[in-house]
Amino acid sequence: MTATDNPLWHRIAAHTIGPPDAPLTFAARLARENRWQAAHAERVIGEYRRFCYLAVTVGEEMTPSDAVDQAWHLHLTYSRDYWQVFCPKVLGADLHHGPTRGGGQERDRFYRQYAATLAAYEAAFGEAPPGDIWPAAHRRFSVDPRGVRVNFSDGIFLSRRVALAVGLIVLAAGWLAGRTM
Amino acid sequence: MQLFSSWTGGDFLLFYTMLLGLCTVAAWWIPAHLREPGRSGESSDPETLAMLAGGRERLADSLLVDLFVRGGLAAADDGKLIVAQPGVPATPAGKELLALDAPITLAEARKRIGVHAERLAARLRRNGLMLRPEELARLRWLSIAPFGALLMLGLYRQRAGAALGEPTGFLVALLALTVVLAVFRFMKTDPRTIAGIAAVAEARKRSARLARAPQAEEAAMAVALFGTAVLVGTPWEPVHAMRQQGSSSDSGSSSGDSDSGSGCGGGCGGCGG
Repeated sequence: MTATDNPLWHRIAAHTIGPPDAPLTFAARLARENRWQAAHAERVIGEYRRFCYLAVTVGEEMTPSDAVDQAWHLHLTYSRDYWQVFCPKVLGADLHHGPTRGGGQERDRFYRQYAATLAAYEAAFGEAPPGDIWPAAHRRFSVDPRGVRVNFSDGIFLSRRVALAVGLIVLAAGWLAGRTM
Repeated sequence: MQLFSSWTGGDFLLFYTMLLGLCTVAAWWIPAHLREPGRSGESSDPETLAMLAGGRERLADSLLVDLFVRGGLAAADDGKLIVAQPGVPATPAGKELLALDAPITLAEARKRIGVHAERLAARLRRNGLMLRPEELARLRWLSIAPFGALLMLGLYRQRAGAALGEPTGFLVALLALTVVLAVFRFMKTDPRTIAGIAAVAEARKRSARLARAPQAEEAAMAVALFGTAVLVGTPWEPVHAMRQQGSSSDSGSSSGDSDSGSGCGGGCGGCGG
């Protein structure tokens, strides 16, 4: 039986997280907190649903991508929905969230779980996970964990590309000013 | 010596540069379109696919990671690999590597598997996935034929110009560039048939997930198809680091911050909120 034939999957897919008529929906909050487009946030929620399906059906610990983990984190804050509806009535099992204890052994463990999750995803859904939401190991374990919470009221933040462009413009302007003076 | 005699040096340089551009396009078009079709076939074992995807070098990489994953090899302090368990089950080519008693260098690994690589290549030729030596030689010479003709033309003009006392430094530089491009094209001619190229493309498409995060038993296949770059961020990164020794590596460090979950009593955590 494929995932899409499984009643569990249908329950997960049909479940709405948070009140759908709220001014700030779950998807909108997820998009806002991660500075994603609304469509991307919806896709991440779709991948989170698939992750939950795998976590319940595969029978071993699964590790999500960072994006999916953000959806999971946010869902956990909707604690009444998560613990009183989603886990008991939709999943039929408690899905606990276990952060790493740190260290090399944990790193290896989580890598193996992540690789197993991608393999289980492919087996269950008949397609490879989308690369922009389930990235390669280097991105997942070396780049994404560097993300931190920032408040844009506290400072000026530039993407690397913009910072490089600004730096080059300033350099060129300085050189030109030096030539003309 | 009358040909091009009315042309100025600048005119001829422009003409030569345009022809060099056309020859370069032809040098890449010819092997892409005049290659032997071969016979369609499916290869599924990592050693065969490694040989087909990247030759002896890729085969050595794939064997090294296979042995590393299974504990036969271990990382030494200096970033090299050493044999940790000579007795782990291995293919004949793998056993050759496990027989090494000093820290393993890539050059030594590639040398040790030479016979096995040649055997694999012969099988791939019989199966129509790699070009036979005479077919490869023909394709190589065809690919660089436009450069050869251009070189003759340029040499003719250079000698004529030099005889008249004209400066020919730029033309000589372009002639040298022509030779470099021809040598590069000659050396880098893909030794596979069209069917061989298609077989690797199909295997890569089928195994696209492995390029992101292979499982232990998939590591050899992942390296066979995509190279050791797929090992960055995995527990088997020392094999990639060894491969990159002597050149800059972008492997970076890994923090190991991750989360997991299971419905069967995994670790309990929470992030507040």
